[in-house]
This record gives sequence, structure tokens and C-alpha cells, in this order.
Amino acid sequence: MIVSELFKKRTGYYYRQLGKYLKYVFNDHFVIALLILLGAVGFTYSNYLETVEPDALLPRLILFAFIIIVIKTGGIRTLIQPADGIYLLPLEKKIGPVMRKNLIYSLIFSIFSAFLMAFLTAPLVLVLNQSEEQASVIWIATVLIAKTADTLLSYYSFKLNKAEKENKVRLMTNSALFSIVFMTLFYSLLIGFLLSLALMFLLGMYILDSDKKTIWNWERLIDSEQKRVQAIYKIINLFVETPYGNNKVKRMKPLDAFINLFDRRTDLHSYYISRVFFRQTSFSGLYIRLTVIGAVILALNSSTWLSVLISLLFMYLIGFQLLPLKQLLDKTVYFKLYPVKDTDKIKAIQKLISKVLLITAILFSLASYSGGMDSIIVLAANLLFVYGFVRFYIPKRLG
Amino acid sequence: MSLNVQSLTGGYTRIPVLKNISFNINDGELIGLIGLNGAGKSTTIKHIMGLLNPFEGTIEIDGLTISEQPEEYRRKIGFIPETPLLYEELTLKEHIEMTIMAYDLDSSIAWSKANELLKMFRLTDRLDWFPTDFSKGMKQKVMIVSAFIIDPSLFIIDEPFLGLDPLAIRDLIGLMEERKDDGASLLMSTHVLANAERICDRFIVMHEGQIFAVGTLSDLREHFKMPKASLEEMYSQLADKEGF
Repeated sequence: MIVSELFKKRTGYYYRQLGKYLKYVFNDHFVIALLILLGAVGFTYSNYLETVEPDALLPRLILFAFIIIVIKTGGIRTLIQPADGIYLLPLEKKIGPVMRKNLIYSLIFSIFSAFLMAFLTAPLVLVLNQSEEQASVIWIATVLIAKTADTLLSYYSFKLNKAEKENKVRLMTNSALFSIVFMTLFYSLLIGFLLSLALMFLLGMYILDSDKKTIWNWERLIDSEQKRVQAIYKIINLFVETPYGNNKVKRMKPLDAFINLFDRRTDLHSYYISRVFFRQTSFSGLYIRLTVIGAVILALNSSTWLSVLISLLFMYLIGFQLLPLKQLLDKTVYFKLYPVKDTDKIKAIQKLISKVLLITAILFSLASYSGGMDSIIVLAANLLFVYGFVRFYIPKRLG
Repeated sequence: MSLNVQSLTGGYTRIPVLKNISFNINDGELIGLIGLNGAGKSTTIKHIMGLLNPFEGTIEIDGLTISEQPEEYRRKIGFIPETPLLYEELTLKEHIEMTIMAYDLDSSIAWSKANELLKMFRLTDRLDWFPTDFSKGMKQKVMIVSAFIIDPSLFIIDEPFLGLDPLAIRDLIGLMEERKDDGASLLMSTHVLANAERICDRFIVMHEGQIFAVGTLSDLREHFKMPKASLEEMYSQLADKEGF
């Protein structure tokens, strides 16, 4: 079979699968919550723009982190599968054209998403730099060039088999990217832009040169595609069970102390899911991220009712992302073999989610403190929410 | 009588894979389940484990059925699966604690058994590791430890020898014989016929979802009219002749 043909088939299958699952995602009332959240964040953002001081440090730091995340997330869609490392090895040379097509496709996609983010952040950059509106073009161009450079770097790393050389190129490109964003935000838009052009030029020369050699690093190709697909399905798994729910697990020994606080070793299901919660980075990582982001937004916001709304929405998101724990319990064959009752699963999940949400409820209440009654109102609303979510929503959704 | 399978017909979908099979295992008996790939060995095991429901027929362990007393029934079985099944998120130590909780074992007795087994398999200093990072043989050892600490009355052991080092194979066989002497029943499915011949009391030869022959080695020799033949010789002769 011709390789390009094979990949055409795979592309079709990939999008059909995604489409099938996305139907479930967009049918869920979770999307409505997300839209309200976007609206609330947008509202806070536009209010904030009017009050921000040009020499403020915090917005620069947040913007710096945000843009670095935009540049560094996403990769190249290769659709390489693990078995290709065995079956396609003899077709090494024929993979080249397919991969270039993948690169172009991924470039278009990532430039589009980076453009959206640069466009949204442009007003803040203008205020911080006290520049004219035309300067936003320079900002957007800088972000797009940086994103392109990063995508080229990922493509290039598929061809590198030597760890030292790769680390060198990666370190250089990454530090260049950091300094570009740093210069742009803290010093001058123009200098950042010129730096990004220089980086692009150097990287382009280097990669054009290396592209002539056609030995692919299969292990990396397979690994990066697996990670990319899993990241997508991790989100979809929140809504509907898919067969791609493989998550990264980390030992994180220092957390054992917390696990012992959470679990009193009385019941089997609790024992398991409290360990899953801490060690599966998709659960604990997302929990920490949502709690921190929520707390930051609450700290910046001063309207009481908006605070309540934002707090409740984040609590909902946190609770919601923990529901797939049930899928995990259902999927594990052992829970079918153990001599235990099935109903304990939901009880264990209720116990874990209520503990986790209570911690967030208190943190959010502290974050929204601004002198008045805000904290107490937010806390009361949060506690009511935890009760409702755990007592009524979970059994209805999982039962 | 420990395990009693009566005219079992079953499978995954509506097409039966197993066709009317019956056999039993007595206390203190080790039975070898033998057959080519796809003969129905794993399907039989899944039915006994309660992972599949029989279309017809009954399965009893010490007189209990899974539909009437699921928890008591499950407590009777220790299972060593063909491919090690492990929790990605739990350490070796936590796997043992899970087993203790699930089967409601006495913690100190179970741990002293576990420690002995862990030492035998040289796993003691790996208690805080994730077994999913272990080699195939070491994972298999974790499964063996988990199954043996629950002290079940029926062991179901699916292809136990693959990936184990020679020492571990010797130790596992020793453990199985020890449990057998204590009166437990063991059902072992395997392709390593030389090992099976050495340790099994009786054999069940399966083909295309049916039981082709049952009996001790001498029963089989008589049945196939091949005196002095080894299990392997009989099996390949039989497979050739019958067009397996």
C-alpha cells in the first residue's frame, strides 16, 4: 500500500472519530457553563483593562506565562501509530512527503490559534506599552513568528537521534523564545519583533539543512503523537467514555502524606481513587490549575455577585472533571472480581469530591476577601453548592 | 468437591464458544487445562470467574453459585491471569493492601505471608515502586503474591510460566504443590506441557469449545492407546490425527 494513501485513510478516520465524540461534548450542559465562564472572564478582563497601570508588574508576569503557554502547547499532528515503529520502518524515505504535509497542516492550525490569543491580549499589551493601536500588529506578528519557530523546532526534533545535539538546539530555541517574549513585554515591542525575526532566520537555515537527512526518530514520533492524542481525549473523556483514556501516572512520594490524610484505609474504593486522584496528573494537576486560576480571578475581581458566579463556576468545573473517576472504577476488572458491593463506588466518589471541593471552597472564600462581607457570601454559596453537587448531582449523573 | 461445572454453554455474544462442558475439581487436586489457542480455555476461566454469564448450565464452588452469593463465591477464588493486570496508580505495597481490604484478610497474617513470598521472589526492596514499570516476569510475581495471600479454596492460574525465570518457576510449582497438600483445588491452563505433565493430577483436553478428553496421564495413554507416551507426544499425535 502506498504510504500517502494509508495516511489519507488515517486522517479520515481520525476526524470521524473526533467528530463522533465532539457531538457528545457539545451536547452537554457543561458547554453552557463554559460559555458563561468565558463571558464572566471577558467582562472581568475588559473592566480590568480600564484600571490597569502602565508600569504594573503582575499583569506583565501573567501575560508572560500565558503567552509562553500559548507558544509551547500543541504539536505536530503526525497520526503515527505505535505499530508503525515496526511496520513502516522499511518505508523511511516515503514518510518524508507525508510528514511535510503534516507540518504545513499543523502550522496553519497553530498559527490560527496563536493569532486568536495574540489578538485577544493585544489591548492589554497596548496599555502596558503605552503605544498606538498600530503597534498591536507588531505584537501579533511577534507571537505568530514565535509560534512558528516552536512548531518548526518540534518538527526538527523528529529527525534528531542524538540527545546532546537535540538538547542544545532545544535549549537555545527555548531561551530565545523566552527572551523574545520577555523583551516584548518588559522592554520594547520592536526589539522583541526583531529578535523573533532573527531566531526564525537562524532556525530556518538550520532546519532546511537538516531536512535533507531523512532518518526519523521513530520513538519520538510515536511518543509525541501518543501524547497529543491523549491530551485531546483527556478532555473528551470528561464527557463520554472513549477507549483512549490512558493517563500519565507519577509516583510523587511526598504526596503520600496527603493521601494518608484523605484516606483512612477503611474502604477499598476510597483507598484506590484517593491514590488515583493524587497520582494521575490529569486529576490532581487540573484540580490545582483550576483552583489557582479561580483564586487569581477572584482576587482581581471586586464585584460581589460576579465573585459568587465565578467561584461557583470554578467549583462546578473542578467537580465535573473528577466524575470520570467512576469510569476508571468501572473499567478495572478487579472491581468485578473482588468480593465487594457495587454501590460503594459512587459513595467513595462522593466522599472524595466533597473533601476536595471543601478545600477549594475555603480557598476561594479567602481569595475573594476585599474588606467587606464578600468572603462570607462566597463561602456560603460554595458550601451550598458542594452539598447540592455531592448529594444530588453526582448520584444522578453517575447512577 | 470444590469446583463443579455442569453442562456449561456460554460465550461472549450470542454465539456459544463453549458447548455443553462438564467437569469437576476435587479438594487437593491440580488440574491441567490443555488445548490449542482458541480452544476455549480462557473462556472457560472467565465463566468460572464470573466475568461472563453462562447461557446454560451451572458453576458451583463449594456449593456456592455466583448469582446467589456473589461475595462469598468470589472470596473463594484466587486468580493469576495470563497477562498481569495491575493498577497503574498503586505501588506494590498498595497492591497488597488493596488485596487485604478487598478480601477482608487479617492484616498481620496476610502481611507475614506476603513478606515471605516477596522475599522468595526477591521483590522486598521494591515495595514502594509501581509494578507497572516492572518486567513481565516481575509483574507476574506480583500477581502470584496477591493470589497466594488470600488463601482461596480454588486457584485459577492461566499460563503461569511465561516470562518467569527458572528459579521463579521452581518456586511457583513448589507453592502450588504446598497449597494442594493443604486441600486447595487448582485449575491451571498452560501450553508448557512438560511442566503440566510433571505436576498435574488430571488433565482436561479442550478442542473447539468442547472437552475432548479428561483423565490422569495413564487414563489418557489408555484412551489414545499410546502407552508410555509423554503428554506432548500424545497431544501432537492427537492434533495431527484429528485435524485440530
